[in-house]
Amino acid sequence: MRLLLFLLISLNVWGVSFLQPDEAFKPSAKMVDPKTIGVELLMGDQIHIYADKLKVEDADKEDGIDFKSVTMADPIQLDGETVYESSPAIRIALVKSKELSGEKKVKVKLSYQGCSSAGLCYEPIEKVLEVTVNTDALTADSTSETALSSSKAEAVQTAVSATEPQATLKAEPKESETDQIAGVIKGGSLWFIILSFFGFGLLLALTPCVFPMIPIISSVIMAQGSGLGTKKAFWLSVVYVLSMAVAYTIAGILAGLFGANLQAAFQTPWIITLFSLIFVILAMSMFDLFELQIPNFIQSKITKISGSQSGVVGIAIMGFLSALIVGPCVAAPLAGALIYIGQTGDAVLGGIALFSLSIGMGVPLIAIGTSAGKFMPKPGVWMDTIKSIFGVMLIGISIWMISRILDENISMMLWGSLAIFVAINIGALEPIRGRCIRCHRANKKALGIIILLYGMSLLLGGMSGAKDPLHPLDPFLPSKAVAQAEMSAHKEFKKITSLQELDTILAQNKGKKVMVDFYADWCTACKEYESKTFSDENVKTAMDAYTLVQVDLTANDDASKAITSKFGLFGPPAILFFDENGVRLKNADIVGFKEPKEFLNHLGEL
Amino acid sequence: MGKIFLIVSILASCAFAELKWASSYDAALAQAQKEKKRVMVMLSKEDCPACEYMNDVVFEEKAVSNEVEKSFVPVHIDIHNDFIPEGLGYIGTPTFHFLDAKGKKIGRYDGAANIPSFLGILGKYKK
Repeated sequence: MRLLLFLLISLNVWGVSFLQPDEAFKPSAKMVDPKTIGVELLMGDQIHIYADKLKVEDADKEDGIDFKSVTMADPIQLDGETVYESSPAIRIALVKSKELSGEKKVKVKLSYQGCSSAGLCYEPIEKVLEVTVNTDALTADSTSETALSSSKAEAVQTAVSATEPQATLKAEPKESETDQIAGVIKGGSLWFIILSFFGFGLLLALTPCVFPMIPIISSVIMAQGSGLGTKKAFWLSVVYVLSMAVAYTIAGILAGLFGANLQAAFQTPWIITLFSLIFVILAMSMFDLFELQIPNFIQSKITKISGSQSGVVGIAIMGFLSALIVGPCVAAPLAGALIYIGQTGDAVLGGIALFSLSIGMGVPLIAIGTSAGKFMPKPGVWMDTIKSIFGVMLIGISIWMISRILDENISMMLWGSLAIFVAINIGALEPIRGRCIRCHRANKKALGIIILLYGMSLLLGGMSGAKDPLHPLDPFLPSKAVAQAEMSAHKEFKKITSLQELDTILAQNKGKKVMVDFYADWCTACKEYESKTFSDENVKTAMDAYTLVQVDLTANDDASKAITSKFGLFGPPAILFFDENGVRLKNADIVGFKEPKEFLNHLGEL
Repeated sequence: MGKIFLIVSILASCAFAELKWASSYDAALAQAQKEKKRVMVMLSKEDCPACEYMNDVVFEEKAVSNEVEKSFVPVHIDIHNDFIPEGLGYIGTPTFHFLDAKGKKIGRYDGAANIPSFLGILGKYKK
């Protein structure tokens, strides 16, 4: 970014003669009050020095006069560098460490390094400045406290320790959310980290990411059979949540240690297919009512997995698996923890953070699991009904999972089939037997018919290529389909899949700001972006200022991995911004879903 | 993650490294004699954004690197780590010295320059 500076300014350097170092930098020191040395560093035209290269030291540490504190003005941001363009107005508060009296010389060592904006960088320079101090006016080291705060000094000053100015001098640039969270781990104490991640987890539990876990945990606890007390249901939920937390922790630590995108590995089509099948089989075990008979030996195995015999182990396994499979949403906290582990290799702390994150995420699940046990009715028809409902939900989860790797219309056909299946089974096409006016069975049949009709539209719509489950019959209404397409037209994203294509686009669009959206068909939050955020009128207007690029990670192949690892991303959704020179705006990244308003605010801050 | 990034960026930088810098000052003089070219010495150091600008932007530009290769043998001298031949002065970095194949000074340019200016400088000091 700093390169831009020279590009702009060096246009007029033809024949410019540069200042000699002595002219470029003119340091001086004098007493500004009896206890304080003021050091000024005057700079020539277009000269600046780097804040992290500016050091003030006591040149003679044994002389009995010590630097109690060193303060200087705030540096400014110049093209991505933290610099001073005018004198940093250094103030050194002095104290005595020995018994001294009369006038003494104090030596201040000042080192600095800078450049001319016209394109010349000077050597690092070290100067020793001498100041005469009347030691009678100085206080001894231990007693005084107010010397500095009462000194007149400049209006805005940052306290800086004399030995390591570079650490505190840097002005904090605005951070992206993920960076902030990575920052929480870096900065905070252990308990603070645990608590904040627990909080992040609780918030995460309110996102749709966790919803699919609700029927899983409920049905797993249901499978324990009747007569399950609240206490046992509670402990089983705890086991489920703990193993889920362990899964996240292990995944996070492994991801950090091996630098691999483990979550992505679990998004590979065959694993998704496998797990979606497992959920189907689990659902089958719920469907005694529908008399879906499966061979006895498989059934006995399933009951083992879903845990009617060895309950705790089965639930632990379910918790472990569902964490890996059902929680693919890349939420900022998770990414933040993973980035921290990845960057520092501090797997232990990162692991602890992830663990408390998932415990926080699991607390609502424990509540649900416990109540699933509590509200479970006495054995009977009711229980079978609820079991069937969970069975249907499990099938739903399996469709939801597999729909990440299927075309939208095919998954719509699956949803439609499920709806028809449900409708028929609650008796949509059965005659209402016996006398029945406004009776329960009539309502049930009406509901069944509604579900049947919707299921049929989904099935038919899916067959003819509809993609929107709320408008499954769009393909049959050509005019409406066109009108809709016009309504939601924002500038088209250029779809790309590889790093090379991105580089080309960035090179072609010099002079324009570029917004790069990371997308995948299987990413629900990405679809939310399209349907909520990108379709918002104000957002559309704001987005017109950018060249829009969309990286399609659906294939999740080597090209996808190359591009995500190049930018340190863990998966979609994520949005990066590049400035007019194709340089990535480091702190502008968005990870995870943003509502239109938040998104607009973010664009506004760029 | 960091390692992958590093590898990617190394690969990327290899792919773009057009200009072949001589390995040393003496090698540059020898090569210039053989190829009947002049020598372009760039005095640089670490922590020098203006030098980075020259390396990352100006010399990356094909027009510049072609023009350099045509008439000059370029060589980097790090003012902190390398021996600086007598007479190659500087007040800061980057500083360019243009020499004939015998090491005789032809011209000097202090500081960085953008692409059009640098092309002008090259034109001024080529044979």
